[in-house]
Amino acid sequence: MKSNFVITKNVKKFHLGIDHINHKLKGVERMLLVTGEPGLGKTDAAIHYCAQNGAVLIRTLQLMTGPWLLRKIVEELGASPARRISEAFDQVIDLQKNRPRTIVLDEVDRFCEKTEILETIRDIHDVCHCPIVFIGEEMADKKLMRYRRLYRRFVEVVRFEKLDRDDVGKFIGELSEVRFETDAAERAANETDGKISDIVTLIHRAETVARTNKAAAVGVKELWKN
Amino acid sequence: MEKLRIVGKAIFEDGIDKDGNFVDRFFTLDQLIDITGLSRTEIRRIMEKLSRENLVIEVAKKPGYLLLKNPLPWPDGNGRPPLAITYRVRNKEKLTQRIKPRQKENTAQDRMWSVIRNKTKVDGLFQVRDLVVLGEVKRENARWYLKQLRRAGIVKPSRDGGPGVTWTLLKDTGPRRPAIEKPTRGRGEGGKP
Repeated sequence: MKSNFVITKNVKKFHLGIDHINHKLKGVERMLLVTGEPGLGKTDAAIHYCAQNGAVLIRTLQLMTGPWLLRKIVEELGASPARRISEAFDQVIDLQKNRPRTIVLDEVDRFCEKTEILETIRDIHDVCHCPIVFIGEEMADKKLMRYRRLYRRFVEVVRFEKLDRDDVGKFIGELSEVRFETDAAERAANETDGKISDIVTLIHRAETVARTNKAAAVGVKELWKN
Repeated sequence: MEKLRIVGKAIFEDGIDKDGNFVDRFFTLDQLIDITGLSRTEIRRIMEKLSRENLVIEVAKKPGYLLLKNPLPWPDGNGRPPLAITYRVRNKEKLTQRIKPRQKENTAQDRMWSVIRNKTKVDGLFQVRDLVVLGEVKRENARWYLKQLRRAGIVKPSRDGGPGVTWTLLKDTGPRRPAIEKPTRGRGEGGKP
């Protein structure tokens, strides 16, 4: 299998959303919410974005508290967190002022119930004016909707959808070492239900079949014998 | 080490008191020559560069043979006499920044390091493929980088070789990528015989 990062429609939407919050306008909010079912590549898109743009990714944990998150942010921004919470907050502001970076928070469902954390993030956003991206499961936007003050700061809600027929075709075309016949590609789109992990498994299977048969392309017959 | 860094280190060494604190004191060209062992011309060139950058300031300059204490030799009186120059640190913070080893930013290694840390946060482990796909680097570069990190004891593979090897991050040194020493070439320790 080839090693490429496939730019699907979801990834395009994700990048477009981040472009929308990376502006220099005063008084305009800079928060983005990304939601979607598991296995659609939200976290991988975020890791890719962080690696290419020097953004900061923080994976939130169930037991996390406000001060814990604050210290984590300071660490990720490249400083040693201060003992006092007030000083840690000042550190975040100073670090962001010196070198503004996008903060990406993964698994935000974990703290949808924790007002302390949500308010801390809102404070950081309001004081530093730094872009903040929330990534959560498909119900994250419903859960966050209860906090109206926070929710109104989301410039956009990006929903990761299951890969459609075009995306599956693109995915197979860019990753597979063997060519899929038209019927096989169509059936792959139906069978995998647009889930990346299933498509990757199918590509592996197709490559094994092609190697065994010494063929350059695979069709429905070879891939779905049973 | 770069000559500028050697001189910078000498400036700070010379200005450190008994308690290890930097005292904002004066230093002379000849003191730097004694400490570093570099030639007068080399040090003058470096000090001129630092003066232009407003990091040090030249406070006194006179022919060396006029010094009352330890006058500088002026063989046969030919040519220009060596100058005794006294300097003072103008901006300690900026000078520290200037002489400390700098890392380039947003390099392929930075991207790979970011992927290693973030993948570890999410899944607990990572593969070479993750570095290639998410860091957008060549497979050879990713393998070389992992080899260096493995030698430094920062990452560990699940097994010695073969397909599907997973890697674990043992030492997270923070968001800045760890400095990797370049491998030595030729004869010597660690090099090819």
